[in-house]
Amino acid sequence: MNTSPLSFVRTLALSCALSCTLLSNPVAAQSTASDASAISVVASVVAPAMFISEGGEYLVKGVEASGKGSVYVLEKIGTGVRGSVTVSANASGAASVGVGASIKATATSAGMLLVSAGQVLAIIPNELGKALMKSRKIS
Amino acid sequence: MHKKFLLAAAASFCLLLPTVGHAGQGCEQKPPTENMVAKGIALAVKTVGQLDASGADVVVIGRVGQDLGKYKQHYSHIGFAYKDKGSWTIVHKLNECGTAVSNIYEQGMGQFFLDDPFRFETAIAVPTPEVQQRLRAVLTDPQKVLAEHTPSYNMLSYAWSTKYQQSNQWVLETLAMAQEPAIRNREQAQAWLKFKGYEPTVLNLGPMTRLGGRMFKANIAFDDHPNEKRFSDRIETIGADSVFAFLEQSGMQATRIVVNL
Repeated sequence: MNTSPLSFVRTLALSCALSCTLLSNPVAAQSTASDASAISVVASVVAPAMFISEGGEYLVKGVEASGKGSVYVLEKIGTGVRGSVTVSANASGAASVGVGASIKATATSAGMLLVSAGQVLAIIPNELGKALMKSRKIS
Repeated sequence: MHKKFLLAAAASFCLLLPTVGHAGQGCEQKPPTENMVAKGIALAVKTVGQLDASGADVVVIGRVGQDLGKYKQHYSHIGFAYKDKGSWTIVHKLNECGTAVSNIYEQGMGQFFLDDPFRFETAIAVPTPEVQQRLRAVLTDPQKVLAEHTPSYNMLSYAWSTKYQQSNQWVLETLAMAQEPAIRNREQAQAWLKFKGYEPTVLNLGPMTRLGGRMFKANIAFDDHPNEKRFSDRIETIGADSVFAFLEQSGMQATRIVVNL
């Protein structure tokens, strides 16, 4: 049949279009996880008192890997005061920043968010935040 | 004319290729934005407040992870939540990104709403005190909580098969086991659910859509569905809404709460 190659291409194109529709919006997709944490949590802060808790803007002066995650050396803009935060291994899709990036710390009811260019690098949880952000695989 | 069709076909392939490249690989998660995290935390805090006020200590909780409106579904994912020492823990099943494997996780309420949801809204089904008590005995027991878990994951698993298990199916079958202690396996849980009148979600998915899903996604399969249903485009799976409806119809639900931002 003359039309069969064309018909095949048409069917294939339709199949691709339909599968694209399905795959970009998978029906009844429940939920996925890589490490199941949508956000990274700061494991420790080494800094003068109020360095983070009073909020403000910071410059990233150094990034180093450590056994506990990534250590970011931050300098508070306008004061020159430095401190460091250790961010646990990045959650899937978490933002990552390099030396020279600027970061701001903003308060939420769960703790301070470290934000760079509108994206959240990590949270420094308070007691409420620790309860809200826990995550553990049990199977 | 032929050229136009060939061009259209080529364009379709171009659209498809990036998706094919991601089949069976990691999730395409975007870094969380400040706005999204702030809203997720706000919904978590508000939900915890409503849960505390309800007096319940075990509930079934659902979220709107994505827009399923065109499939006439509202909530996309459910889990259990229980209160222990004043703090709420979500117990739910998650598909490991882009694979056909799943695991059971215990998470805080914040993590539950920080998964880039389509809508910041949650539904909470508060079971009757007896149902809560039975669920609590299962959820807090390290062996029992995993008794109905099958790691093989299929996003569209058949409601009456034990080959695969999707997230909402684990909730439903664990609920069955908690209510009927004689249940020892998934077959028995499904038999109990049938007897109690559970009705699965029916999706009408044509052959091309099924083919696309099966070929390009590691976490979609149709080989657990009976041929007569599959080939009549009738896919029976467990939508979150169907579990809420079952809880209500079976009398296991005392109240329902919806929390919005």
